Amino acid sequence: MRGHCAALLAILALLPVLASSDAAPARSIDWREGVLTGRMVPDIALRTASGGAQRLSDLWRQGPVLVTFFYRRCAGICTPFLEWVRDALQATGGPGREYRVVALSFDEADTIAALQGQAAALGLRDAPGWTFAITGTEELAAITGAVDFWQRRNPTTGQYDHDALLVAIDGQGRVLRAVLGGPEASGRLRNLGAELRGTFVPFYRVAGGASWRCFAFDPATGRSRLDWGMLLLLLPALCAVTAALLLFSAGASREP
Amino acid sequence: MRIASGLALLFILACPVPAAAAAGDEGRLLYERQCAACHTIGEGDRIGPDLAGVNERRPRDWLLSFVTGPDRMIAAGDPVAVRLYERYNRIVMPNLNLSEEQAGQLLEYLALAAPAAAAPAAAVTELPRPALAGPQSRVLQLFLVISAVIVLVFTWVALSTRNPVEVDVHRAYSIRRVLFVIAVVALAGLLVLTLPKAPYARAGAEPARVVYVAARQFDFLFSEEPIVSTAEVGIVPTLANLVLTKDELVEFRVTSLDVNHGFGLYGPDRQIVAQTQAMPGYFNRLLFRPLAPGEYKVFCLEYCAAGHHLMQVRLTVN
Amino acid sequence: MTTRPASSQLLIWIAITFLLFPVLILLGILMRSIQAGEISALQPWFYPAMTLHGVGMVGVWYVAAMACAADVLSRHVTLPPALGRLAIAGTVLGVVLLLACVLLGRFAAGWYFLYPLPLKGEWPLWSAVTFLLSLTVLGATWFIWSLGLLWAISRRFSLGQALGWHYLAGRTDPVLPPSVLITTVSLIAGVAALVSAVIVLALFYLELLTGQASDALLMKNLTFFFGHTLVNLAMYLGVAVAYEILPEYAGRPWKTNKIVVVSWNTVLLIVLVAYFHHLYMDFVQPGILQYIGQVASYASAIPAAVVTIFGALLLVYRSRMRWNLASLLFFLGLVGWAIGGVGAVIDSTISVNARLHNTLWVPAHFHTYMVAGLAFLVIGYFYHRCQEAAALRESKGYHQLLIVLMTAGAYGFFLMFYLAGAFSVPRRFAVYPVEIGHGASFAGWAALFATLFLVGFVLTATEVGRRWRAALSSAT
Repeated sequence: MRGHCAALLAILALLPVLASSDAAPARSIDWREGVLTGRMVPDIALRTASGGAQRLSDLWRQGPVLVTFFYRRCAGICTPFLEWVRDALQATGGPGREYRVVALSFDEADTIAALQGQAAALGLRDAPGWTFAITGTEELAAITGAVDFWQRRNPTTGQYDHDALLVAIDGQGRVLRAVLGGPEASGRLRNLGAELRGTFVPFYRVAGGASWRCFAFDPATGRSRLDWGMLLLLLPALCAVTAALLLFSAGASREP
Repeated sequence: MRIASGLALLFILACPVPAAAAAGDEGRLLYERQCAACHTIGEGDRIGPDLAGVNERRPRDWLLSFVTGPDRMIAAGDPVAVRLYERYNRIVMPNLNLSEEQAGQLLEYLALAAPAAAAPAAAVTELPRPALAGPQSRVLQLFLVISAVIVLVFTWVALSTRNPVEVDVHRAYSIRRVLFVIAVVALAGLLVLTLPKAPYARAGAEPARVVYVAARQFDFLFSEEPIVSTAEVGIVPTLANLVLTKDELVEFRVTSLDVNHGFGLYGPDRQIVAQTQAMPGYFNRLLFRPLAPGEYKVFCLEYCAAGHHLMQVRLTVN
Repeated sequence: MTTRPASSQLLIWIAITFLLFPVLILLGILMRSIQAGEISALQPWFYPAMTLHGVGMVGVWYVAAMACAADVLSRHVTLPPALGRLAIAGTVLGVVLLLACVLLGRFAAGWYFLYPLPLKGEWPLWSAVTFLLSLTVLGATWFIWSLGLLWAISRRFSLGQALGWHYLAGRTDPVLPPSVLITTVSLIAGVAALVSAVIVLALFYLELLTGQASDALLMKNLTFFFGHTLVNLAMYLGVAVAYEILPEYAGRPWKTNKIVVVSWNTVLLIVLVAYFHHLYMDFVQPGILQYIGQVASYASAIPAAVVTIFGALLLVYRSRMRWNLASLLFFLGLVGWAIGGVGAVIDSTISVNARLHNTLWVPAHFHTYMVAGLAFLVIGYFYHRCQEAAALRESKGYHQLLIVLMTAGAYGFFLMFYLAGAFSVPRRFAVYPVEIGHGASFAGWAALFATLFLVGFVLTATEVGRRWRAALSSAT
């Protein structure tokens, strides 16, 4: 998402409303997302909020990694965006053993303390599966270049205009899927979260949305369950039995 | 929803489209979303004519008015439009509601797009009838044997009426009891034998590869990532030539972008080896292990309107 | 020979059936000829013809079976005459609308018009709307007809009695003819099927009016619940007629007993869940429903084979059977039901269905029990009633020739379907792609055999027609 903070704030005001809204068609995706699929992500060195050093490949060898970008001083989208990511992923069981999330700062001014501050602000200080990290100048350029992450510093405010990008990386450092944008991608991000945990969601909303569906996906358990539509299948048999009972009870005054 | 679309608008305003998606790409997207299901560029006719060189074949004005309103042109009796309509099995090209500007972009793309690398191979017009083999052959034999038994029994009973006699009903009822037991045991046995062979995805089956399939009127798109709406066609990369590895388990995740279709996989011996349905809003997960190398064909096995029998795609197993 | 006048309503149904059936057969022959590559110029008409042939045949044989069952029922209970008139008027109106949408609008979504195809084809929207209206008229008419017949039964039997439950307790009073039991079961299942159709139609109208889409899986379930049940119960109504009439020819009784009651009550339950076998290839459908589908489909074979077929064979075995056109057709109708049933049970095996689903095996088995099963039973009953009223002299040798023509023609074109199905030739392809080019030769032979059947049928219909004319003068 780009633009000035004023515009961002206007959008932010709408975020809570939209985060809970599933009304948008399931996948109105940005054209750039598809382009990223299959690209190799460079294996960069990370310095994490706990002060340790790790390589990105150390993480992806343990399973898929979801990489996103932020900077601590952001007065705009970063914190609400990360909150949205946190909540959407939490709704499908959250990261941990099956996959990990790396929130990478793209502001070279950010320090370990800044990372700790951001993690604390989100209530993710020791959250399992979350890594807040910084990296070196060249490596930052390498990874942002590899995933087409766009950012531009505004010299007057010192703030950045930048993308809201999430990139899922597989065990070989290859981009599995990218999600760009905000709350309108909630459904997709939840599905991605579920799929990274090994649950494939075998249905999606189509344009025009169905009134009665056969299945619903329960994010809390990561399972599909039967929805009201399936109950509609009982209706014909129920109607037939009821009709028969009514007709025959009305016919009680039987002919000899 | 009003708020959602308002927000989408803000995103669009805030996101100037990067250079890569400029003019030429609009034409490509239009072609892949709206045209490629029925036309090719240089790969021969499908539901409609091959579009390679169409800019040279017809005047631009005619093309613009046809692309923006094929139904109107046919209704108005335009001779070329009517001839095309007759030639392509009287299937009216749907009005795609394109603006003149979009039609122009489309024509630009068609002019630039290189015809598909390989010229279509000399069309094979006839193939010998394949050998009847596999489960299909056993099923047919079983059916013919049981039918023959039925015919014999009925014939025997019909002929028995030549020598009428009173029948001992109680003895007949005891035969019925025996038949009942035999039928129950036979059917229960068949259930036990066949139910575990159901082709549904099970926990523990780990496919070496996942291929997404989006079916639409009238073609199939293979991709590594899901395509669930026309808006994603042309954005999510598709696999033009799907190549699978022999003996390697593959999972097809099959869906449809419009109506119900069937995903019927025909092996090198031109018999069905696996199938599932393609339904809008759902992914059917078909696990398949190719045991024989060669050319496979996918045909649509659920009737989906005029181009149904022309809907197909090829894949190769090495 | 004593005569028994036929009801004028039955005579009207005979006329409607014998008028529509040959036309619909011609459409079938047209389709097979197009597939054989003999008249490619008519290829654009293939799918509209397929739609008309499908809806037409299902509809014709359903109403014909209902008419026969109602006629048999009138021996045991009093039917309001207005009910039959309404059924005739509604059916004719529905057929007119249907002809309009297919012939004028080239509507071609197939007989079960799987959602959302009617709204997304190359035909104009008005033709889809006309088609839905046609089905609404037919559905509403048949719904009232079914309820009316149930009401008539309720005037004489309680629900428990009509379902034969008192036989389970060892009582045989009141005596319940098997035909009434089977008709009751079929009508209750029919009401369920028609309610399902109403839901499907309502959801279509909802989308037309508000743009609110429906769930494709839900619509598919409802559609097949309706389609499967309607076709099956049409067959059951035909069997009910056989239970009533065959004993008259065999000179032995075929009565209700405990086993018959248990078997047909089981059928009522099974027919409501067996339709799941139409959705085997929809892998998202919960697995348990798929397995229920196979178990129910297998289970449905037991009452049919062990009770009804065995009962019929026992009835005829070494009896003083009076063989004529009617009794031969009844007997052969049960053969067709049995053979078609075997084809159906084989295809209802999930692992087999993965190879046969939507190949020509499917039309193979349903043509077997619809044509050589239900149609034979119904034509047999039509002949039986007209002959009963007219008492014309019967030419045994000629009638046997007619039977041979129809049977050879029918089984010839069934066999082409079965073979093609085993060769993975898909159903509903106007033109076969080169890989499946061998489908064309099966189609060519099928067209020839179907023509033979048509000839046999027309000659048979003429035989019935002669008696029909005589029966008309004495009709009640």
